[in-house]
Amino acid sequence: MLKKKAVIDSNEIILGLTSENTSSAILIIKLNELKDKYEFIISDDIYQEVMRNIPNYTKGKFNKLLEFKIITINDFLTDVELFQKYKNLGFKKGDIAIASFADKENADILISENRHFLKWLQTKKFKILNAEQFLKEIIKF
Amino acid sequence: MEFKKVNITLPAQLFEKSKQLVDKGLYSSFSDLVRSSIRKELKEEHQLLNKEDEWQRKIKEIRTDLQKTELAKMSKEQIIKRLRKTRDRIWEEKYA
Repeated sequence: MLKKKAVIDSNEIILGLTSENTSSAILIIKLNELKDKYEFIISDDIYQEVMRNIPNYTKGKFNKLLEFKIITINDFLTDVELFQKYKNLGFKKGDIAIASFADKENADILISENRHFLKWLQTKKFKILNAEQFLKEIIKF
Repeated sequence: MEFKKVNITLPAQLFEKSKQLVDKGLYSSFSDLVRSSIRKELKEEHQLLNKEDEWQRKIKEIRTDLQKTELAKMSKEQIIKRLRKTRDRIWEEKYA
């Protein structure tokens, strides 16, 4: 079965790692169960966002988590055309790189709690869902 | 070692294919094939369960670490706002 590709935004990772009963927390725990159906990816920018916001003594543990290969970091080379596309769609500066990454990766879903992303649901290339919506969607199928 | 005798029902085709493995000498008997298969299945299941446990254990370790930080005291909106600042900073550093 072809796996769906999902980009996980840094806010889902941080919220999932700092709480226990939220949708983001459930999502992070469930990634291991979902790995046969989904390929979970992050860009180097998302990785950097997480690393810059967790304490030094946790960075090694986060890297160990990535060694499970349940979430993988994929390279993203700057793509001026894609940046322009998302700029024209009205994305904010930092979000342009993440949306372009999801586009370039042919991702099916971008999972984010970012309201700026969530209002751009008309993006045809990929779905933008928050953790709660994503969890509801996987229960549906 | 104590043994239990069990009767099993198999699709005829599966039984025939299994029998071929015994006939080729890969297993000493049909019972030996069943025992080996169950052991293999249990080993795989054990490994799978361990991997799941390990993933959850690592997440719990990180959560325990982060409970001691200011992140744990921040609301969802505050965390999102903080990450937005980091995102914009990375944008300025890499792409602007």
